[in-house]
Amino acid sequence: MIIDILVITMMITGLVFFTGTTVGIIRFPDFYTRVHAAGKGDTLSTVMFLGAMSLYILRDFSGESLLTFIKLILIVLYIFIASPTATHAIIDAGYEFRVPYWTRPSDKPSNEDDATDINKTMEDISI
Amino acid sequence: MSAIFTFGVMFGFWIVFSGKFDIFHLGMGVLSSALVTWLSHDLLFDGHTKKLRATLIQIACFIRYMAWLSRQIIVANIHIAGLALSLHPTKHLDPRLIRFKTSLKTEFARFVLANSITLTPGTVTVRIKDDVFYVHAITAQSAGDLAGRTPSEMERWVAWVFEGGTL
Amino acid sequence: MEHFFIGMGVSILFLMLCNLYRVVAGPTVIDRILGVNVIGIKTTVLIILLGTIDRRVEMYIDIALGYALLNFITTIAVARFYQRIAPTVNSDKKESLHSASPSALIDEGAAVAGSAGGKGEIK
Repeated sequence: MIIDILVITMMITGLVFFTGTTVGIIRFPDFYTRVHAAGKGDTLSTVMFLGAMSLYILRDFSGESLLTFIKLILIVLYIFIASPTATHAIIDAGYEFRVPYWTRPSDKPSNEDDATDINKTMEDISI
Repeated sequence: MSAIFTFGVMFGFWIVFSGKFDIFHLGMGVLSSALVTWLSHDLLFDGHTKKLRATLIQIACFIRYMAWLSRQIIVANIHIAGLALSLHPTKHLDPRLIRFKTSLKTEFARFVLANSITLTPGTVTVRIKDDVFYVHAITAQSAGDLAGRTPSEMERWVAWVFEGGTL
Repeated sequence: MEHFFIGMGVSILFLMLCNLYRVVAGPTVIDRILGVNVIGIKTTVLIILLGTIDRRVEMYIDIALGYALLNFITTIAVARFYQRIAPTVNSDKKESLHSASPSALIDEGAAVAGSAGGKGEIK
């Protein structure tokens, strides 16, 4: 029972992050920000889903389920190494392609709530 | 030394993927693992391996680093999902490209640092040219952590794991 | 529990369809590669979900592992290919390409470039 609740919670969390990835890929303004959404949202949500799966598999414990569990862990480890690498390859190719770059339309100080100190220091450095 | 490690890793993979424990399959596993080890024992671990003790300490340090990194990954995912699901994402975005010089020497440490930068909130490594990292940051705040002249917290962690720096 | 898994699978399938929009309508070819990569990662999860519904995870998980490997290889290969042919595609913009190279993009000594006002934009 407790395992069921844990599995359901983890899966719904993973689904929320998957949704964040998808919506980010559709809504973000340029290629580089889309890469951010794709590269980060997928790792944690995949881990959530596969963790829920491994809990569900280990519920009836046997030698075979242990092997399946180890393979799931292997997939998780592999995705942790491969996903940033694939992201890096894609964004490097896009940079080589000179994909148009989106910046803020104008730096008018309209958003006082967002204008933190770090923003000011950044501009000081860049000048 | 590296041959023994390679054989262990290969045989472990064989057992996991075959899933059979009778004498025939295990014998085939020993044979093929030995063949692969003989052909490519200097690929997986580089030739000048350190002492076993140093390697074990490094693995322990790396596991502690992974614990710190997984917290960063959770923060990054919440950050990006919040940005994507907010009402006006372009209002919060402020993308920029930053550049910084790293003090890490070995290739593997740089690889780990680049992948870690990609996994942490708001930054993606674009390109590494020798010791200069080009990083794309999605907001000004996430750029601020890396842009300073002193090494960032993550770089100090990686240096601590692989090159014996101080934390 | 089975019904919950089926619902999760249908949700993931719907999200993959949404991602397909980026593959079809992506302005550049790199956007399409990105969309395909994300769909592939979701497929890995979906295969394992199918295995759990089918009660034969030990078979499906090998397929999922192979799919994850192939997805990564595909992404790397296609991204590298387009990275290599990019200079020929953009050959008419050679001057702007040089002026926008990373070393020219950022002022020497300054750690930050491409700030909001945009004196050093990529394009």
